Amino acid sequence: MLQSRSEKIANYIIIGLLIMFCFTVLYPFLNILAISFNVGTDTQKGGITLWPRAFTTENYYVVLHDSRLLNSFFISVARTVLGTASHIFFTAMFGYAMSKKYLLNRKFYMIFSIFTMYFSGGLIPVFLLFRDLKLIDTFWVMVIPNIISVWDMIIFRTFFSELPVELEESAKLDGCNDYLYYFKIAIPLSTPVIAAVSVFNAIYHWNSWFDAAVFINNEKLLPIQTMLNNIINANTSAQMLMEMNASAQELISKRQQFTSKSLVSAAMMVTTIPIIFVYPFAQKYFTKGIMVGSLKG
Amino acid sequence: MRKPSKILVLLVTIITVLSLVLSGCGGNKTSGNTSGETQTPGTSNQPAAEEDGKPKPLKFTWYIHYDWFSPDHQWGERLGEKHILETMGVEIEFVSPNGAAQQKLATMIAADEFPDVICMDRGPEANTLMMNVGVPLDDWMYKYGNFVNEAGEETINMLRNEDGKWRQMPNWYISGDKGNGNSGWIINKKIYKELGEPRLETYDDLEAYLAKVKQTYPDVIPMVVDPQWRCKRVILGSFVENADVWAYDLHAVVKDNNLVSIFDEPTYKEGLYTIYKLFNKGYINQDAFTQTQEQFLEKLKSGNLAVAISGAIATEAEGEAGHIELVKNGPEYGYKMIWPIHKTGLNKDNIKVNDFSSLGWNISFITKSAKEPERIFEFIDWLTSKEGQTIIQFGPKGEYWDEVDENGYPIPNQRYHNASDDEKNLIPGNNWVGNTSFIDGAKAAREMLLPEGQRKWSTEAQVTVAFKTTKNSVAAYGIQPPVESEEGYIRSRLDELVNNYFAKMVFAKNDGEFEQQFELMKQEMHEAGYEKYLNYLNTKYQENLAKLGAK
Amino acid sequence: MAKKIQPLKLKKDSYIMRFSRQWQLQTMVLPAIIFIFIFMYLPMWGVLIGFKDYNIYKGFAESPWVGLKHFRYFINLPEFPRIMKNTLGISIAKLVFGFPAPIILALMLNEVMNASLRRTIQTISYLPHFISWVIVAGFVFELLSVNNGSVNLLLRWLGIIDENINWMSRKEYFWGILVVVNIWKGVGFNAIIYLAAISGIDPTLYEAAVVEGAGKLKRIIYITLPCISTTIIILLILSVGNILNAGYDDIMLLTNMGKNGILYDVSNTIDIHVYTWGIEKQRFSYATAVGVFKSVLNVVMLYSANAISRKLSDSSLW
Repeated sequence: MLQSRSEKIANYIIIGLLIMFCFTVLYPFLNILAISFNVGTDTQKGGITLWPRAFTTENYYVVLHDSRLLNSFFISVARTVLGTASHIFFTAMFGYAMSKKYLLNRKFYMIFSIFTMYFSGGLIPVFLLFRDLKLIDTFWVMVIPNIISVWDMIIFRTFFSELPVELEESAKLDGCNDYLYYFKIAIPLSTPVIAAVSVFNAIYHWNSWFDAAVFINNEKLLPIQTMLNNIINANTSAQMLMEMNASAQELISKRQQFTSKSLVSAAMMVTTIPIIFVYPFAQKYFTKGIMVGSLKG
Repeated sequence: MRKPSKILVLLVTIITVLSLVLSGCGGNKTSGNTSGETQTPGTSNQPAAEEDGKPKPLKFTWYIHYDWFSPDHQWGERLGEKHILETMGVEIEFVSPNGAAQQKLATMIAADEFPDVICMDRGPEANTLMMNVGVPLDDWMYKYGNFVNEAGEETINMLRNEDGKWRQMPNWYISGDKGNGNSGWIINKKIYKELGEPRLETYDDLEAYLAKVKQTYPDVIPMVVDPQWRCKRVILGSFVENADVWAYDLHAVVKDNNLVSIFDEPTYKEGLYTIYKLFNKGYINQDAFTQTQEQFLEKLKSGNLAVAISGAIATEAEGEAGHIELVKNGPEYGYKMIWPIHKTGLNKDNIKVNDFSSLGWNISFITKSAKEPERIFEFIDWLTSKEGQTIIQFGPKGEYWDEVDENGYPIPNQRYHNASDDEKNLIPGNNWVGNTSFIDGAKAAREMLLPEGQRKWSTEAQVTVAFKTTKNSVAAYGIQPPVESEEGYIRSRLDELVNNYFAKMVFAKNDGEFEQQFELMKQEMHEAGYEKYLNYLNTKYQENLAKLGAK
Repeated sequence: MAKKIQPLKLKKDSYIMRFSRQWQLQTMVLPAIIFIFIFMYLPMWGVLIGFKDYNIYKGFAESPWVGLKHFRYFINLPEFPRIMKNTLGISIAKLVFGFPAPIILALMLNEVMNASLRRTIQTISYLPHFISWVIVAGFVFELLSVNNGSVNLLLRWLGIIDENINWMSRKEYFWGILVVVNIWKGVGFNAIIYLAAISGIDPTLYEAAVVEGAGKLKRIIYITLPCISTTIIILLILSVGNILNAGYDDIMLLTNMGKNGILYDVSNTIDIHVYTWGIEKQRFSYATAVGVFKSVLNVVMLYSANAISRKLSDSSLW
């Protein structure tokens, strides 16, 4: 379409600003990449920018050759897929129903749910509950408690409420019931929000380490972040403990002396690279639903 | 896609199957290692205490309560461990908190399920836990006897809980008077030489030296302190003789066998004033308060400083790492650890800037969840004996040593001398009941066999300076108030106040401002309940002194 | 607004009849309600820990009630005013600057016509979300280092300053640094939801506007923003309801785990206080009580924001 001159200039300015922003992001990222390929003790001297000074693949070796890592990779994949799928399935449905103003008890449900965003029991009661539900030390403790999120329900509700009311009315006149309408019409029209929340949830599952750390003891069930933490810890605590032979105090931040920045950087790369592609993949769903046009006709 | 749900269902099914298979596989806690069922009858190194016929296999869990801990190998992969596993049938599983130690412990307590042995720092938290779930060891103390012999009755008595029972087994305890430490001062050799090697003993000397450095080398940081000013106690402690530096961390000063207020001891203020003066004149690195450990190490490795002071300067990771880096430029480069700078007029041999506790680094205790507590104690007790320590630390006889010398220290053999550093680092196994005096003695003996140039920088720094400027802090054990008590809350406030005002004092623009902040600190500490807190500390301190007897 | 299609009935519509007509919708809600009840309400007794002197060994039942003791202690601390000021100050600063930023980014991205360029920029922009705060803090320290940090070097080279600034040791810069770093880290990720909202806008609206001669800016103001206004308002309400959560990881790490004495006056927030006093020392009751205090205030803010929004617009949470 024809653009006026001022519009073209505005375009260039916008693109320029965006690209500048991208540089501020890329530089640290490339820096971390360089450090991950640099010898740990050399990194400590400082001064690495975009290129490794003392190239090595030893950091990746330490991180990757541990056989437990491959296992935890699969656990994370399973957790992310199952967790996100179940989350979307139940929470979207929840959000959809809540978007209907004629839903009976709607206000009650809303307050019932929002209350839990502000008041929660804390770790110990939750742990005891999981224990009673026999979820401790199982794979499912990472999935089941994450099935519903009130925040995401609100997001879904907001988006579903934007769907044109006339569409539903005409569908119902044709004999469509709620479930049918939801699955066959509402969902396909809402691919952007489903994609967005899927991305959020997938990233959440992929990045979590704390829940598994506390609720799971079995090494074979640990997801990748928890396992990586352990691998880095194992590597550094080995060196630390050798130091302990000579003296018995000054433990404050001692760990930091030994944690190889290079090792941490390599670990970060290993976990980040897979998940980065979730968003570009989901992006193609950020398009309008196909059926809205039919409304005009 | 019109029906994302169908694809999802398919994916879900596949992954469900996969995950069920995976979770099915991971039924047991122990992965990998075979439990040593081989019952080889006793070989030459069997300790008498373990043997009765063929040893019944013993398996137990040992939880190490630190965020940073994660085992880097399975039990049995190190020489000593392998020997123990195969000839004694003992298998230990070291449990890590997966990086969330406090939470993990809380859940254990809430669920009332514990590992067999727990290792954690001494203190009020450990004491409470022990009294609730720990197994008393008194009945077996003399039966197996190694802790008594090696750590000493005094140490064990100090470790008794409030109900008089002994439960906690010390780790890296120190018997005798050979204390250790890592804190102190290092100087940049090259700069020192170029400036004529002036006398560097008192703070006046130091100030003059730093002024000269600043003048001659404008791009060099004259003096670098370590992150969070861990070295503060090193400076404060050098203003008196025979300082008890641990007291400064508790915001108190030991004076005439009593714990008194920092405001009753003028040298405390003198120390703070000196720090302020040096910082104000620009001699100390200006990022002293925001420096991360990484940045500190960077400075050490770059050599762009004349003097450095740190709470852990004599360790491999700090002083030695910096030295190794600098020495690459030539033999006249590098760092040297010097005797601590002190106040003019004091006897330098009585300067104590380090502390150590004969009680060691941390403790382990057996919990009520253990099925065979006595057998576990029997083993751990053996482990802390000279034989056990030798095996776990240096390997069994015939591997890297064949004989012991007159002190009982193993003499490294040719295989050891030919071994690479990496190989040597793989010899010691997991040792959580270390006998410091014995191990350090053995290592020192080993080190002394090497010609001078080859000795480790850190060992040399420790042996020549750090270990000589240290004092036993055993009397400080258990005097800290419990966190839930009123004094405990006062302590939290004092920690914040002191930290806050210290920064303000150091950053003061002039003497007047320094004085002002000092007075403000005094007032706020008083309002926070400083006296009550000190009272508590001193009462406990006196109790300890009494336990230790008149020395 | 859809109205229930009322069939002719002789009797008055009872609740049960109305409910059963909606049974499908209600069964969509039911699993969620059950879930929330089990996983969030059953453990909620933990909130009461703040009203007791919880002894983890004695257990909940055996621990004594102390009523508002912990609340009173917290409010009476001399630091309390400063803690509240820091918490609210940091939060509001983050809100004022950090809330619009992702919206602006989304709007800007929407103007990029070239699809692959847009996708590339979008992907790059959200990378910082994946960099852990530990690493980000490390970067900040390096960039702002007083000796040879890039920022100082750049400013000196441009002639803007004569002497290196000790950024991280100056109270007055801390909030600014926090806000900027937070925006940098979160803007790309937070823009995703707005992009999703924007992609739901009917393109014919834009076409009609162009025909009428509306420029880029007008199109944004009169079409894009109004169409995503519901999303913006809901997220704004939720953010206001979060106002007492000023952040934890970022502040902790940028003050060297709370040990930097100089920044203490401007960085001590409720969360930091709870961590150093409550969690590190295993003072469960105290930590819980302060947490409850925070939540109550947040709920009040949420309620107010929601009520205001209900009056001024037609979007609200309830």
